[in-house]
Amino acid sequence: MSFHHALSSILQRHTLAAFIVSSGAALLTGCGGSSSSTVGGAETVSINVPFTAMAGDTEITCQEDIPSLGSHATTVRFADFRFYVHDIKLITDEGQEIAVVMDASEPGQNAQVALLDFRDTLGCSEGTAANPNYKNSVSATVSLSPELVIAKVRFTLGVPATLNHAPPSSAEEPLRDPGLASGMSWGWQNGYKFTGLDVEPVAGVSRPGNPSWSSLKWSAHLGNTGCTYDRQALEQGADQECPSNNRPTITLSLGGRQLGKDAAIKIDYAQLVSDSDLSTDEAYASGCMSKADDPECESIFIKFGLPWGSVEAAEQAVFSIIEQQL
Amino acid sequence: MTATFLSSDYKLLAISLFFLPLLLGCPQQSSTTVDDQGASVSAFSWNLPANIPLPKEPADNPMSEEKFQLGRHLFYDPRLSMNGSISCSSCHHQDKAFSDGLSRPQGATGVQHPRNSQGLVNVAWMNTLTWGNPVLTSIEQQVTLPLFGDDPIEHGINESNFEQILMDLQADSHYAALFSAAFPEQEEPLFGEMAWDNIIKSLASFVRGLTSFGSAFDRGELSVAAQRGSRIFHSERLECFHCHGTYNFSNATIDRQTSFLEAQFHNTGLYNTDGSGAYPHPNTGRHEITGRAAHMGQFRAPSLRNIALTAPYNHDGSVATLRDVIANYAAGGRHTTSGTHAGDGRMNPYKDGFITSFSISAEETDDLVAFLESLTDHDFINNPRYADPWLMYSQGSTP
Amino acid sequence: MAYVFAGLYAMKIRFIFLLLLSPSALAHYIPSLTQATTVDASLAVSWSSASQVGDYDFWQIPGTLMGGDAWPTRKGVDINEMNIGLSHRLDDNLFAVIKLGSHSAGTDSHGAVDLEHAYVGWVCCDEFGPWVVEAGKMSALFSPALGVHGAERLSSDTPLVLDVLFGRHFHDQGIRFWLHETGGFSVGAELWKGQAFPATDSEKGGAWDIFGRYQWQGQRLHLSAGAWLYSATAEARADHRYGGGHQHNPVAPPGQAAAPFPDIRYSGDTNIGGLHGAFSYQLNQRWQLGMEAEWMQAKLDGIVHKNTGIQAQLDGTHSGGWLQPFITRDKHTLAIRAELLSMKNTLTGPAAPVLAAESGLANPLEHDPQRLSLIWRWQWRDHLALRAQAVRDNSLVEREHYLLLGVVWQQRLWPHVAAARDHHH
Repeated sequence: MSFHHALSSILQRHTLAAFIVSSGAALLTGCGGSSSSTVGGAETVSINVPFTAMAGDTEITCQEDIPSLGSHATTVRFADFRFYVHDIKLITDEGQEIAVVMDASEPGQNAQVALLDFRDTLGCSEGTAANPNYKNSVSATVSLSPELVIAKVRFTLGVPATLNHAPPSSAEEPLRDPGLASGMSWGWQNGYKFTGLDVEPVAGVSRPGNPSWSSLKWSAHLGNTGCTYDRQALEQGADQECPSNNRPTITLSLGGRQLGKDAAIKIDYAQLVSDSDLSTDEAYASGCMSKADDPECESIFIKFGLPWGSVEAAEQAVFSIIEQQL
Repeated sequence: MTATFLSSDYKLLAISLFFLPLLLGCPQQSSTTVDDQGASVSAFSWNLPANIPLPKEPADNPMSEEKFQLGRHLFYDPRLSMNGSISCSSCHHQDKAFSDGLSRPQGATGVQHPRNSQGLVNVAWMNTLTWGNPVLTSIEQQVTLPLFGDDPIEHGINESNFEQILMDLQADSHYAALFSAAFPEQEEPLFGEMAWDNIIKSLASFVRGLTSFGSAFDRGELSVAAQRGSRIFHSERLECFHCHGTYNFSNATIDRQTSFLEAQFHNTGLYNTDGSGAYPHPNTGRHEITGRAAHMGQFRAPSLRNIALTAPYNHDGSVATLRDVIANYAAGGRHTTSGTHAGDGRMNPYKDGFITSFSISAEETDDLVAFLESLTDHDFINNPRYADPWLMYSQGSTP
Repeated sequence: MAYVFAGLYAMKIRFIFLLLLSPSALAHYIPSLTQATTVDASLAVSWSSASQVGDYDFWQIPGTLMGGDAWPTRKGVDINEMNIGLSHRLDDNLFAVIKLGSHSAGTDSHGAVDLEHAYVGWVCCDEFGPWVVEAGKMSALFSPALGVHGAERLSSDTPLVLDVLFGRHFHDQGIRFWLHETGGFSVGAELWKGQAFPATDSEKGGAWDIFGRYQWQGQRLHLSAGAWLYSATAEARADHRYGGGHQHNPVAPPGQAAAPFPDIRYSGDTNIGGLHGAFSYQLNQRWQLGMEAEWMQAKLDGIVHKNTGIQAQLDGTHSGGWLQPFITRDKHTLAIRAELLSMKNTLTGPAAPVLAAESGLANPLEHDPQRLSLIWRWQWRDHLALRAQAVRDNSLVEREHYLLLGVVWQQRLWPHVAAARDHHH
């Protein structure tokens, strides 16, 4: 492995140079941000930030039962698997952050936010037609100097605060509802779901102590909660006050690999719910919808690397880098 | 000395001094200039009584008659739902001041809504929308919930069906003209990419244009019993006016003149399921949105206009009649002795400070109900302007 | 003399720099070392032939924001003012003053006996100055007419512009620094807590002022003139005559209507500048004539608001003044007082029309308040005077005529002096 590591890092620099040469549309940018002064300077290159959605070792698909998920090994069928990402950055081995510029002309994303959609059928469990909005990577460009070594990738889950409260019916995609954001709009909190990760346990969801309560779905929705508003301030252009930010920033080490070439970002649903019992829900919404005292939210939030109540944030466990030949 | 005094110099002085004050003519003209910054100007004919200020209109959706008419068509159109079975009017009937007479309605898939369908009376003057949500401050925001919400499903419009629903509307010949008239600045208001935004804006405009200020109370025609009831309503003993005051009988009222109004939500001691103030889920009121303990069970005080038509009452329709509502207030809350929601709401620690018990006789209750009934606006519920245009088409008349 | 006349004729009243001396001395009273303790008392009672406004109406001059103690004259007998004051010279540098008083007020026990003055003064380096620092509850010195007692004034009533801009009386807690009558000049500065209208006694409220005066005394001619600047900040200032926290619901007898007072508040600045002057000329032993006048202009910049959450921006310029020439023969004085006010207001905001109407700032008829009085005062005995005043009152849109007859008692009770003529407050 160490040989592979060494080889990869050597190859990486050359590969990057080759990339620059072969891209054909490389532009010589002003390179003001680069701290290293080199011959050649920075160039804008296209990159692809691919994602993979897994439930353990199984790739997530819509019309199949997936067993053994959660703390009680529940069999489920997926009902929704979408999430927003923004602020993607590449980080060099010296810690320098390089912002990635998302391509606004690509479907499912605009210059500020992208909506990843892993449902292979439209409506997921509800439909069999192919999902035209399936999206598992973010297309972007980045300004890189050839000698920079990219060590990590960083991104933030969710919709940026500046876009979260705009009217969905006239918002730019992928925030338009009805549109790509159908089912991702959180109207009653006047915002969006940052993650729409819903499963339908085959045996349903029950509530201990309340036999009349049942639900078909177990949801994991991150979003801004606790929002208050001040109408006068809103009219003067201020944003709503949402004390719970709930936008985890994920930083992943590439381990010498290159995104879009031999590395992808994996979201592992099995890891997310490993401490959650998908067949029961004690209180409030079925699953976790980011409500401040919902007991199911504790394990979800901790897995995402967010603090929960008095529990401090820990290292997130849901996202990782996997080797993938693309 | 005398000679000196009477000399002309002094005479002149004396005379001048005395007539000097009368020289104070031609002063600056006093004036008071008032600039209301267009607060009394609107493109829509509100037809309000003189003492009612105009409601706020959103800057990105100013009111117009054309938007109102388009919204009216959409309001009564069941094609705006997943299976063509639900229109806004399914849960908002004009003859009940746009409520539906049920404790809680059902949506397109039969799932019951957790809360009661409110009457649509003077919504344009409401500070916030729905029973207990402090962040919904415009009708445009609220309208997306019944249309696109999935928990519960009401109209059930989602990503699988919204394109077909729009095509169904596009196929109706009435809509092309209505959309063009309502959004003249757009090239393709019905077939372009702003179509859904236009639907939402025009539905909001229709709801905004539902105004009711023509009750017996407004005309000053109160019966003797209703006059007694009015005094009881405004008395310090009952304190109704604290939450149901202003010209709209709700303290959550704002208008063009209002610069600031805090969110108005109150816990009236209806439930206390755990002995510590809990309300049954999911109807915890403002707490459902903010998560703060002090907001448990807080709901918006609805307008009492046309209240006699919107039974059953309270956020979950669990109070059947006006007399029951008054009885709850007289007791200082509701004591539920049995069932899943048993608890003594009168002891709810989050209860609003104005909900203290009071004594009221049976005759006084009758008078108070008579007053509340005088707030019914028969012109509002019979006004053809607010009625179903599709029905009128089928009857051969023009709406 | 002719020169002065030319000036008087040539210029409009408000630009004339009048040099006048009023009968009541402008000198501030500091107890002397020899007469260390003094007790003064005064009482002014008057009878009016008519009320300025109806019993259940409010005296609200269109275009103004009134308050303080600016009560309207009511028909019948009224105790305008009662004062009893004690001052004591503690030592070479210190003195103290306490004064109790009461003023006529509207209904409902507004006219109780009040501690009007309670202050301590420090004097250096002469018997009476010139450096003086006073602190405590006291009257203001910037405008001499504002501090004058009802008993000392020629007229039975206060000048209109003082009623409107200062709420008739000025008693506040504060501190005053001044250079007292050096070569005829006095200059000073005062800092106030804000209890006096038009300020409020609140966190950001309060007031301050600066003033300067010049006095000249010749054989026959006395002159004085001065200028001042006053600045106040108010937060949610109410018209405490009828509104404010203690609002009552008036109940009229059957057949009459009693509307509740709209409790409109003002939050903002009030900056007032003024000029005053007086002169008197002793023609001979029996005759004296003179004139006094004051003119002031207030700039209001703030917000008018109500508890229902509506507000409007107010930009106002209120100006006014009075001119009072007089002639004295032996113990009789005849005077004419002409008063004029002019208010320009601009209210901006969606709620401006409603607030303009309810606050009294609306002035649809563009009325300029005016008042003209003919005054006769007869110093009948050493300490007792009678006065009669015929008033043509056009402060409100409807013109009223009424007669005021008054009796005034002023006396220095201690040390007992047979015929004291000069009284200072």
